[in-house]
Order: sequence, then C-alpha cells, then structure tokens
Amino acid sequence: MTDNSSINRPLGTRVVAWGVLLLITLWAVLPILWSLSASFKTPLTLYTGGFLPDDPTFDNYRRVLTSDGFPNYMMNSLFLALVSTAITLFVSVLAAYGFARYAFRWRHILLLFILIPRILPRASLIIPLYDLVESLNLLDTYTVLIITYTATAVPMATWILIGFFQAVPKELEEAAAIDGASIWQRIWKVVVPISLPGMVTAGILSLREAWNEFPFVLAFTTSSDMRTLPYQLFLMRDSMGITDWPLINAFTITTIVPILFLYLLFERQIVNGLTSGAVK
Amino acid sequence: MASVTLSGVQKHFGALEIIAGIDLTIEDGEFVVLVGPSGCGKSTLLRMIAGLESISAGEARIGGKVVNNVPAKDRDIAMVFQNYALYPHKTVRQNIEFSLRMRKTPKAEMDRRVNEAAELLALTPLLDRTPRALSGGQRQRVAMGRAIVRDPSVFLFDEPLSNLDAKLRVEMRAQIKALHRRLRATSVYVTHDQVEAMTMGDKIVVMRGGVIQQVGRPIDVYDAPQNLFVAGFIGSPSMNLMPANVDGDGFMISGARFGWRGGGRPGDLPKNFIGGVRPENLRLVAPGEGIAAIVEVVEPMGGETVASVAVGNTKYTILFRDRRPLEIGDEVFIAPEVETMHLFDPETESRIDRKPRL
Amino acid sequence: MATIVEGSLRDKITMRMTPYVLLFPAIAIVAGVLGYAVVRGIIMSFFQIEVWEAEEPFVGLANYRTLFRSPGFQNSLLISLIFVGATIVIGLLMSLVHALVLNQIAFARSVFRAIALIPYLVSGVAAAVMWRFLFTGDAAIATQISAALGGSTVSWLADPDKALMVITMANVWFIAPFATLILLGGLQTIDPEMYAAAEIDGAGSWQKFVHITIPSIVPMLSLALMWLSFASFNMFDIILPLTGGGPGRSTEVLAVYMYQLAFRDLNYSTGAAVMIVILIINIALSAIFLRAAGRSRDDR
Repeated sequence: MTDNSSINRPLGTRVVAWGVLLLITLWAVLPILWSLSASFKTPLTLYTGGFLPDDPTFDNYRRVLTSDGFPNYMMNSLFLALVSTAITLFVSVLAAYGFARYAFRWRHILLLFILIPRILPRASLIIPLYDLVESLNLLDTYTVLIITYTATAVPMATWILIGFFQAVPKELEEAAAIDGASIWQRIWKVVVPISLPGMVTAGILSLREAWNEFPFVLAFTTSSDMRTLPYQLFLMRDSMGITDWPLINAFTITTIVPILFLYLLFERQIVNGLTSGAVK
Repeated sequence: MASVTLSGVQKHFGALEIIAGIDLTIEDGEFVVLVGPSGCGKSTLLRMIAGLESISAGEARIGGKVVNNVPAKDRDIAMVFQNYALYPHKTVRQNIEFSLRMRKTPKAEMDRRVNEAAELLALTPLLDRTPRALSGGQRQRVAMGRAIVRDPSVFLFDEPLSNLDAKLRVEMRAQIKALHRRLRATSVYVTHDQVEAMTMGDKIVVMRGGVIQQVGRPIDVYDAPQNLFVAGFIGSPSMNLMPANVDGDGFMISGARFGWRGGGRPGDLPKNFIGGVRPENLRLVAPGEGIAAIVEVVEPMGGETVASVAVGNTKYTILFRDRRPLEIGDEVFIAPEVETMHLFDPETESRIDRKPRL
Repeated sequence: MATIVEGSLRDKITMRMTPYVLLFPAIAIVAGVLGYAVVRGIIMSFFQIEVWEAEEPFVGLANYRTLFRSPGFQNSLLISLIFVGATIVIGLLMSLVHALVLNQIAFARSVFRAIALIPYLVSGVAAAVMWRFLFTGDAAIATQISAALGGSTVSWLADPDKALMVITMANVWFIAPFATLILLGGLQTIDPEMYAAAEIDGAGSWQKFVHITIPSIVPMLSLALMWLSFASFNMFDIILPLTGGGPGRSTEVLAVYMYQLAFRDLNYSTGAAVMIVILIINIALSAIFLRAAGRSRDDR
C-alpha cells in the first residue's frame, strides 16, 4: 500500500526522506554507540580513536561483572522484574477481561482508575507513600518494591490487554462455554493464548518498567543489599573522585542489554501491540 | 437424545422485547429449522436454548429438565457457529477434543472419539493443522466435528453455512442432512435462507419480530402459509400478493374479472381480499382474458424463465417452466390459477381457508 | 455483552458481581498505592509536618502560600515550563518527521522502526549517564564539537543555560520515540485510497499533508502531545542523575525540586504541595488536549 506510493515519488523526495531518516536514526543510537565504544576503552584511551577503540578491551566488563555486589544487584533487579511482571500480568488479565467483556454500572469510573495513573507524577508518589511504607516497616523490603512496581505497571498492562481481549471473537468463548469451559478456563485457555502477542507486549513493558525503575528504589531502600542496577548506576555516577567512564559505560551497557535483547526478540509484537493499543 | 420444549419463553433487554413468548416443542431426533429475516429473534432463541443468553421469562426444557439456570456446559448440547469459532491457537485435533478435555475424558476414549468423528467428516489428514491452514469448507467440517465428538443430546446450528460459497453450501446441506439421518440427534438449525429451511427441516418454524408465524412440515407451510408474511417469505421467487375484490360469483384483480371455477366460492370472504399466487401459478393468457401487464425484466435461466411484469405500479413475478421469448416492453395478459390461489384477509393478514371443494 | 448463563448456584447476583470480582485485584492495588498516595498527598499538603515534631497541625493553604512565594518554586516552575515547552515543540516535530519518513520508506522499514524505539527501553538513569558522558569533561564529544565550531570550551553541563539545553535534548531523546510510535500507528491507519483520490483531485504533496495526513492523525497527535507533556512534567529519572538540578538551580524542574524539598530539606508538606501542583497542571493539560482533540474530531 504505502510501499507503492514511495515508488511513485520523485527521486529528490526520496533522497530527502532517507537523509532525514538516517539522521534521526543516528541521533537515536549515537549516545548508546558512544557509550558502547567507551566501554571497550581505558581511561587513558577514552577520548582517542573515535568510535572504534584502538585497542578494545573487555576489562571493563570483567570489572563490572566481578565487582562487589554486582551479582546481588543483578539478582535484585531480575527478581523484582520477574515477580512484579508475573503479578502484573495475572492481575491485568483479569481486569482487562472484565473491562473487555462486561458492561457494568461503574465501568467508566473504574476505567479512570486505569487511565489516571498515566498522568500521575510518578516520582512524587514517594513523598506520601514514604510515611506509610515506614509505618508498615516495609522500608528496605522486596515487598514494597514489588507492590509499587506492580501498581504502576498494572494500568498500562491492563490498557494494552483490553484492546487485545476485545479483538477475540465472542463466539470463541461461547463455543468454549458450550464445550464445558468455566469462565476461569475461558480466560486462561482461550482468551489468553489467542492474545499471546498482547501478553508478550504487556509482559515486556512491565519488565521494562520494573527493570528500569528508579524513584521507588531510591526512596524506599537504603541498604546496599537491596540495590537494583539503576540505583547502583546512579551511585557510581559520582561516587568516585575521578570518574571511571569506561567502567560506568560498561555498567550502563550491561543494564541495557537484557531488556534490549528481549525487545529485539519480540519487536514486531511489541510495536504492533503498542500502535494498535494507541490507535484504539 | 432429548426433546426440547419451550413454554412462554421471553427475552427482553430492558424495555426492548426480542422474543415475545414462544411455545415450541422439538421432538426427540427431529431436525427443526428456525427461519426468518434478520432481527426476527431466531438466533436469540437458539442462544437461549444453548445457555448463551439468559431467559427473561418462561421455561426451557431439554429432555424434560428445566434448564433456565443450567449453564451451557451442563446442558449436554453442542453448537456450530456461523464463523465456526475454532480456536486459532489449537490444531484441528485439539479443537475437536477440547470439550472432551474439559470433561476430563480418559485419553484413550478421547482419541477414539476424535478419530471416529474425523473419519466421519473426512478430517483425518487435517488433524494436525491449525484452522488458519484450512479452507472455508474444511473449517466448517471441523466445527461439525467438534459438535459431533461430544455426542450431545441436542445439536444447535447458528447459520453454519452462510460463510460458504453457493456450491459448497449445497454440498454441506446434503452432508448435514446425511449426518442427521445417521446420528438421529435432535437438531435446531437457524437460517435466514428459506431454501435451506425447506430442504433441511423435518419441521420449520417461521419467525418474525420475536413471534412464531407458523410451524409445520416445510411442504405444509409452502402449501398453506398461515399469513401474508409466511406467504411472502417462503418460496422463491416469492409469492405474488394480488389485491382483489369479490364481484358477484367471481372476483376482480386490476380490472380483470375471474370466476371461481372448480374450487367454488369460499364461504366468508370479505369484499376485499388478497390473492396469493405462486409465480409458477401465474399464467399468460389470450388478450382480453386476463390482466394487462408490461414485461419489465426477463431472466432466462436455461430451463426456466422468470419474468417480472408491471401492472400499474405493482410488480408480479411469473415463473415459466420453459424458455419464453419475451422481450422487455412486451404487453402481456396474465391470469392466476384460481384453484391454487391462497386467500388472505388484508385486515388481519391471515389466511382464509377455502371450503372443501364441491 | 456476556450473558452466558453461569449456572444455578451462581445466580443472577453472582453473575452481576463477576466483573467486579475480576477487577478487584487491579483496582485494589492501583487504588491502594496510587490512589492512597494522591489522597495522602492532598492531606499532607494541608498540614505542617515536621520530622521531629509529633504535632501535625492543620495549616490550610499555608503550604501553598509559602510555596508560591518561594523563589525556589518560582524558579522551578519557570524551568519546568521551558523544559516541557521545548520538549513538546522539538519532540513533536521530531517524532512527526520521524514517523512520516518511517511510513514513507519501503526498504528495511521494520529495521528502522525497531531502532526507533530503542531509547524508550533504556532506563532513565542509564540515559542520563550516557548523556552525561557525552557532555562531561574537556574532551567530551560535545565540547569538542563546540570547540571545533569555534564555540566555548566550557563543559556544557557547567553552563546554566546549556545545561538546560542538555537535559531537554536528553529528554527528547528519551521520550520522543514513544510519540513516534503513536504517530506511526496513526499514519498506518490512513487509507491509501484517500491519497490516490486526492492526487486525482489535483492535490500536491503539501496539500495532501495538510488536508489528509494531519486531519487523519489529530487524535494521535493529541495523544502524542499528552505523552510528551506528562512524561516531561513528571521527568525525574533523567534529570537527577544527569545534573542533580544544577549547576545552581538551573535544571531544577518541579519534580526534582519536590524531591529535594522532601528528601533533602525534609519538608514533606511543601513537597506534597508541589506534587499536587504538578498533578493539577497535568489534569488541566489533559483536559485541554482532550477537548481540542474532541473538537477537531467533531469538525470533520
């Protein structure tokens, strides 16, 4: 469709379009490439050799991976991301099914509960929550992070899933009901498997949310045992007298790679899932 | 196997009445077709029997047991949907066995039944494919297979053939009929296509506006439509409905006079009535012996010819069992076959039965 | 909707309860955490809460009065407005152009589309660190470029005006890709036949853009606008690690000001008041955008 239209366009227009595209694409990847390049350099060669390091070294990555506490931070990030995503998906599937399939009295008001969090100043939540977390003795616990990560991821995941669930033909569920499936079985054995691209999208986005989260872990934890990768990166940023940029860049790249890997694996589903969700 | 009995069944959505109060008995092993134009409530009624819609008032029984509050899965029914409702993420085999799995049927038993159903529907080579990789007709058969494997007491069909092309539809019609003869399962079949209804049903139920218009064997409904709606709906091309009025011992239609001939004059006929004449019972006659009409459309269909003629602003259809060299614009004279004419009261729209022939 | 009969034991009342039961966990956790935070934030902003004081007297709007008079707040509000305004203008233009060219090309579109979203996946902290690296030190790439062009060799992050530019650029880099995705989704729903029809009617490229493309994606444009403005107003993750609000207070946007107020100065109630101010601005903005989008939809 649109492919044909570009063929009909004059050469000049196409050259400009490609030029602009390459420029913006360069803009999008340049900071990451620059950081990647620096992660293979040493403090001495940091500003030499341009993008391609003269004498690339993996030493920075070795230092990152073997540094004190790194396995701990990694496990914290991984554990929090996986657990909060699992809970998020479970809770969001139920809610999205409720919104997608039922017309009920408070539907619109409840839908606001899903929409309003998108405009909440997230970082500011930590002020009113801090007292509560403290009085419940939940500071420095996984519990508070899992709960807050889930609470911030559920609205978005629900929103994405509603669109996918609405697209599942009602007849399929009716057929399943006649086949003997209860509402629980219809949700998990019919609707969810058919909406797999939506589950992948919602899942990876909540993983991203938890993996990258910063304000909550900053406010609700103090012990170094509880640090996540972004928090550690934040502390590394200026904790040393002379900034060890190659090391910091290697650390940065290390935190990016897992989520980037997942994204590239499921890019099609995620992009389609997000655009179709946004269009609705 | 079971009978289905509906007594005073109603459905409303708020103030909106969809089903007005239906009484209907479907005998054990019978193939009943619910037919009517879209929006007549036939699908809603079927879904109420299935348990996909709640029943607002009245009672539905399957096999003598009231099922108003029995969930679909416990009604021992199977349903074939218009869009087949196959699970896209499951293979044909998984689709067919899903209901057995839900009922925790032992593996060996499940395999035996799936294979049996697949055999019956010639689906065996397709069992490992997903619905995506099947043609329309094949999907249709999988939907049938899913219903058959359950060995339910009642089969429900919701316009199962309407997504197929004409040729496949005729084939599947015959297949479903053959299947029914073999399994003898009570079946309720919904369609808007009266040809499907006529050819498939042991009994047809003509519906309009949530009300049953007529119930009976297809041929009886065709021969004796109980009201103008049924008269116009059943039969293709549709019956001609000709306004007429009594004139002495005969009657007039559009200025032409006809005698009652062998049939004799019906008893209590109102002065104005409507004569229902099937297209095959409308004849061309010599000039002056019938109603003058202008030929507007001629559809030569090979062995038959269908012509549409205009009398003033009214159009009538004539079906000839042969080829007719008619030209558009020709003036012709038409006359109804009086013996086979159906009589209707224009006020009540219902049938006026003739006195027995004299 | 679903009226599938669910059985005699679960009678009508149970059926009617089903959606609420399904929604309960989600609503409970969202309301429990986010809802609680908002309500508690509003309450806090009306009291005088001191860390070492047991008494928390009700002070009405006093916190807000103090806030509006404080130079720090006025400064942050101004910085936020510049930061958000610049992000919206640059971000929207850039994402629109990006989406348009992505929609144009036929070759390797999915590859470029995949790359387009990458900045969105990076954590705010990581983005901040990478941007800090671009601009830190005498030999930083940006300083070098600036020097080569004959500009100042002072590190950009040490110059108040340039620091604000840097956080704005980093912010655009970070949040515009999602806006691109929203707009691309809109562009892809435009029926190509509309362009064909317009071409036959004699429309040129620019006319097609003005009369077909833009009107067709108005809802997506307002969605993208909303995303850009909320994400910027609430932006915290990038700025704290990148500049910490400095140099001086030149990059102390409201979100950072609020954090410093509460967690550095331990002035919770005023911090809560800032939170409510941000929230009100966001709600007002969304109302404006939604109304604008709704009106333009009615016009068509």
